[in-house]
Amino acid sequence: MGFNNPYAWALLPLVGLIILMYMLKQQHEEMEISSLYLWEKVLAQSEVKKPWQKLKNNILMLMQLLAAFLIIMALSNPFLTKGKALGGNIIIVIDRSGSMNASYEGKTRLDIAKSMAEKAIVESDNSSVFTLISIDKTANVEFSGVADKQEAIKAVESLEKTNMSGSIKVHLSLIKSIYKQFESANVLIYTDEEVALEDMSGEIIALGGYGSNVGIGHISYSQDSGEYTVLVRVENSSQETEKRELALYGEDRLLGLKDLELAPGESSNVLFEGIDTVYKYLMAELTEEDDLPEDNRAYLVLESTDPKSVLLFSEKNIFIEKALSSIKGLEVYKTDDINISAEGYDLYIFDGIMPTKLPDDGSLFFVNPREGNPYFKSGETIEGGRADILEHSLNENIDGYNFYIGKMKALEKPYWADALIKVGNNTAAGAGVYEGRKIAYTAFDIHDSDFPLDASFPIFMYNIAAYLTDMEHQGKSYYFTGEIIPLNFISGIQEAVMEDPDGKKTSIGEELLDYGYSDTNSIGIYKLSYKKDQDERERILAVNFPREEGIDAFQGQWEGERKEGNRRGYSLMGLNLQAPIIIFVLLLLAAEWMVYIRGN
Amino acid sequence: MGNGIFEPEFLKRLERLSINMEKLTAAGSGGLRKSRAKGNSVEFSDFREYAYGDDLRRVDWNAYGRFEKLFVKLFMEERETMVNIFLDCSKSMDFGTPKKSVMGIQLAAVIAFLALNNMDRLCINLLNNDTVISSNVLGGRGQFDRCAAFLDKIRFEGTTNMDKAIKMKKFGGRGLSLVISDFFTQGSLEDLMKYLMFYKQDIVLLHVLSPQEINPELQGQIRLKDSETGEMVDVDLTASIYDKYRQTLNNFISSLKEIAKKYGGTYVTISSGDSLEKVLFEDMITTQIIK
Repeated sequence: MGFNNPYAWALLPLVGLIILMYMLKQQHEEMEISSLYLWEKVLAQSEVKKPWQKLKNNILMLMQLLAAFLIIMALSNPFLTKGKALGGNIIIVIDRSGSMNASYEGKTRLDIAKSMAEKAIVESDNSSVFTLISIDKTANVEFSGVADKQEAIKAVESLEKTNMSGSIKVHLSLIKSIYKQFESANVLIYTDEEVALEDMSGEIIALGGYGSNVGIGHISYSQDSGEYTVLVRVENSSQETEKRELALYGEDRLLGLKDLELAPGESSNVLFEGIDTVYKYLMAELTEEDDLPEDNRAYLVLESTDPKSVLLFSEKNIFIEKALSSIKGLEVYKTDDINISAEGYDLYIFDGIMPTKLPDDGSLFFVNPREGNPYFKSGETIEGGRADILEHSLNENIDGYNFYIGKMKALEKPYWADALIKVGNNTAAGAGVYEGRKIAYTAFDIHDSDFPLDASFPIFMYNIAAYLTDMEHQGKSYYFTGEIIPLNFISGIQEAVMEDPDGKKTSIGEELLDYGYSDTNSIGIYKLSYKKDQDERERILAVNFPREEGIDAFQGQWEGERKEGNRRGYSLMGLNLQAPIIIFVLLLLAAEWMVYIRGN
Repeated sequence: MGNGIFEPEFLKRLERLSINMEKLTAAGSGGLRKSRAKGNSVEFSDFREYAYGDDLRRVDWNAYGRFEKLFVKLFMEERETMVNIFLDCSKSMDFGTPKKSVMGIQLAAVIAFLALNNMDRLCINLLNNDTVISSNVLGGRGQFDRCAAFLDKIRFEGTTNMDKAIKMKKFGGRGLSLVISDFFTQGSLEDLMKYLMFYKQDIVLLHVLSPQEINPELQGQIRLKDSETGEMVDVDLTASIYDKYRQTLNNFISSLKEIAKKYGGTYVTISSGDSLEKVLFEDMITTQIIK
């Protein structure tokens, strides 16, 4: 209970005035008696002697006292509080990263956060304006400036769990900038992550805690003589020793089972050997349910074993040959016969020489193209210089490197190509798609540069070859939830459809291929079906729960934080009692009048 | 007589009464009160053999004739008693319907009448304001008019400290002391009794209460005013208060009885609302104060 106008209680002494008036008013019928001798003895043993006892039986005065008290109370504008209510601008931030799926007594942290946020909305002042931000991999402003509580509650209710990794800390600057938009605001952050309010006022409601959880942190494989060896790392993030059973499935078939016992914080690498190579993907699973079931499964896609074939037209370029042969999944063939009519290769590389007839299929890579090349306007030979590897998706991991070129051709960069390496204003290397064909080129002879001596050379060759042969990216046998799966590894495809583990199908337009597929919230195997060269093709991708979410989820408890700031956001609100009290006073006065009339 | 209490008929009845004195005093001159001492009265008591020195006039010669032995006739010695009446003249006595003072005066007059009629010596003492105003010592039936005149002039006013006031009285010897009061008094009643005992007084306490005091019939919020001191007390008269009052009154009466008994006295509660006849012929005869 609180009072909006506590100063009214200063009038309380007036109640004493009423009592005084009554005491003065009390008219006793005066009666002379012989002696008070006996009466004094009677009164000595009777309470009636005490002044306040005189008030007994005086119902009128008691009613007046009560009325006066209540009037003062009404003036003080009392209200019943249900805790302190927030008012003004309220920014509700709900963490819905993977760790918020950790459950406690059957409810996930996200459920608890949602119900607490709904309660906060219900209990807030009616003048409140809400902004809701959900944090997963990104910060999503679900709504802003909503004054309708029901609408706000509905939006909170509709927040769904995600399996993504996410951190409030990363998005704190966004929250702050929204906070600063308002003259005054309060932030309510519901999270299991330990963060600070910094200069914002409001409250961090900490939902973290300990729990029982063992998760799969990593899964990988290696190939050896036609068999796979699979490594699974299992991590215990509980505070107690946990026993688990780890199962490995090849697609739907159980391949192995292992029992584990892990001390708190311990991680264990489990090897499954002799795995047959017939499976498209593997799944490791911890069979027991725990407080965070999402990290109990991990998928792994086994790479397609189809090698890509490359035909290298070269006189004696050992550098290119060596660089290509080190690339896994490429079968390199070499020729210096320019008269052969080649076909059926995924990639043709022309190192300084040109065949009489260019092949009709596959991608093309020209090194130091000669005059008469139909794709380039060949220029004169010019002095080289420092060659800079430009920032480009094809220059992954080598952008910013440089090397020196002795001499090069002043090739005009074709309109369809992107520059990859530049010497001054001249393009030294480029790549692009021309008439549905991927074509790359360098305007210099490798031998006229120190490029092969640089660490960037094999990577550059790998990137170019992977691009030109549609070779799959290596090392990405699985993705994490929330991660964007790049789809630019394939070109010239039509009608791509992604089916997620829940069976939901999404068709992907050509223009989105470069962006990739981002709806990767579900854990499991995604199937990408697409058409290329009139062939129906399929590719599977694995998406796993982010390791750090499982580890961080059970790092313990902290108290949260609360800052009331300038308190402008808070208002002492609740059920206002002024009106009911006034009504009661009126009734009381009416009753008093009745008593008075009867008394007379 | 101002108080108009003595009707001839009433007096006639009184003549048949006398004050009962258990302990007749040995001292004092001859009166009509029978003494334990044998002596000079017309009332025969006993015979005894003549001894040397006996008054020859008292020898019963008829007996000598029959027994040839000298016997002396013994007669009751009739002696007078000193009767002291102490009348409380405080304002509180002048209260009640009928007034306690009237009853007090009537009682004093009746006792005076009885005493004089019995040839006792009488002194009426008015207790007021810590002092005692005593009448002359009266004796003989003819003195009753003087006595009545004295009683007629009494004014009831002020307060009385009976203990202090009575101690102002000097006693000549044994006697009978009757105290007529409502005993709403300051001072210790016990001290008073001791004082009277010291002077070998037979004590009679006549406790006069008005009907209003015995059974007050007030109601509601009353401001009670003490008639003597003017002191006021506000009382909310409820049933429980009445119960307490009655209890207090009973305790008061019991304590007076106790004190009287302790010092060999007699105590009577008298309501001023009762008729004098009832008081005399019931209350006082029952307690054997008069017979």
